[in-house]
Amino acid sequence: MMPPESLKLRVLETIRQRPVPRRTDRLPTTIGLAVLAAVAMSAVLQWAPRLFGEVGGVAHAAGRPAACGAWILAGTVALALSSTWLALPFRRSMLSPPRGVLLGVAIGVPLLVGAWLVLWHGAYADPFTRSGWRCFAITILTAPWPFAALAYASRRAEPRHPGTAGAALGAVAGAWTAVMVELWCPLAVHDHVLIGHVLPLVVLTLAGAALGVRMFRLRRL
Amino acid sequence: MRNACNEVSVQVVAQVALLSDDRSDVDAGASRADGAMDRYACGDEAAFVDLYDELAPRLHRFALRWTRSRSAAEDAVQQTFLQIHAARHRFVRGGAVTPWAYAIIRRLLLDLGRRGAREELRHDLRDAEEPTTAPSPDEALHRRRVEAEAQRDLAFLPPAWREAFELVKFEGLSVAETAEVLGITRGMVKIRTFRATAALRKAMARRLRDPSERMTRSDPGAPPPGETREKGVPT
Repeated sequence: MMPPESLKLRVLETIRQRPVPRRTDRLPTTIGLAVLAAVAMSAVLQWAPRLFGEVGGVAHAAGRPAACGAWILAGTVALALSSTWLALPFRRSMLSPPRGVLLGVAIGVPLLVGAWLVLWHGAYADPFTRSGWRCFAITILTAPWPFAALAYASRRAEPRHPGTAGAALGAVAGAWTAVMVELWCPLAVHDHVLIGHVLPLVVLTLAGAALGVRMFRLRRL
Repeated sequence: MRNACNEVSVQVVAQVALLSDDRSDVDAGASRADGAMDRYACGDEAAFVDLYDELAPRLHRFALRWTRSRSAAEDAVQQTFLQIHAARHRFVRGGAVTPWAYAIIRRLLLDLGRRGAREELRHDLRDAEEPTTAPSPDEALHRRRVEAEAQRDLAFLPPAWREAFELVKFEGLSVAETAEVLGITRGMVKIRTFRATAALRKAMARRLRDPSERMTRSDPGAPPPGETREKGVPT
């Protein structure tokens, strides 16, 4: 059964009344936003610890052996890169990856970050003891910037599972935040990692899911 | 035994053919639609008409099968094209428009909540422009009965299986495209399509064994006998 001709006329008339610009190259803007996000995260890392009376920047992690720090950082960067590759629609598609992949990212990132950090517990003596709420706060303050860049890069179009896509982006933003926080925090003890490094990623994932439902869902036009 | 199996297979294939007899050359159509969308995204306004001509009949048929309502199907098709138009500036270079369009219309139909309110196929949905080479009364009766049985068998399938089966068999989407539309992996599409086909074949075999069953199975919401479900979800 063919659609009626009147439907075609109606559609063509409606789109004529609502002009939309032609395709633009989004790559420069995406790169610009990524750079901006990196600068903003660095600024937060530099200034936010001072709110808690701490030293800002990488100097705070001076008590950790440099080799251990480099390995921890390398692992976190690898996790952030791979989760970004999995969660963003890099392929030639207007749709995000399958729900299973997105769920894997959303659940896997907090777990892997925690496991990776705890793995280094015992490799060196922790320079001091903290409960982890400072790391929690810094992570939450740092996360909006990468999330904004990722939301732009994801093309804001997901008619199938906007909540899952948002959760995955929240987790990826958390992974990049973890990279920055690892530059600052030298601790790898279980309790601290759970409260300061895993819990905020879980919060970011849930917040991403809530935002994703609002941002990526289909709206009637 | 082997002959009986072959007969069952032939009948299932015939049912599928009956349900998808107006299927076009979908692969060529998909590539034409992709090209038209690419041109439209690049600024060729006239390409939207080509895109509409390629996609609208398929989307309309899909929506009609889903809603059984002409006005709802037209509304869904219109909304889908408006969504595509609104995302014109974001359309990825070399991207496939067909799975995207199906994903949009599927979401719109789900949101409309009409999936649960499937009505029986009304005969007034027949296209007035359809060729009226009237078959003999016996042929017409047989065709209508087979169609009704096929529709009922489909209605018995779990929604997840039915969606994958319809997209692959009726809409002619590839496994990869269906996976994109449904947001699942290709392997899962294959599994669901296989299970749907097996369930249809099983239902047909059961009916052939016991013709009186077609009079007793009237609740399309209930699982067919022998099908296993865990907490209401088909395994």
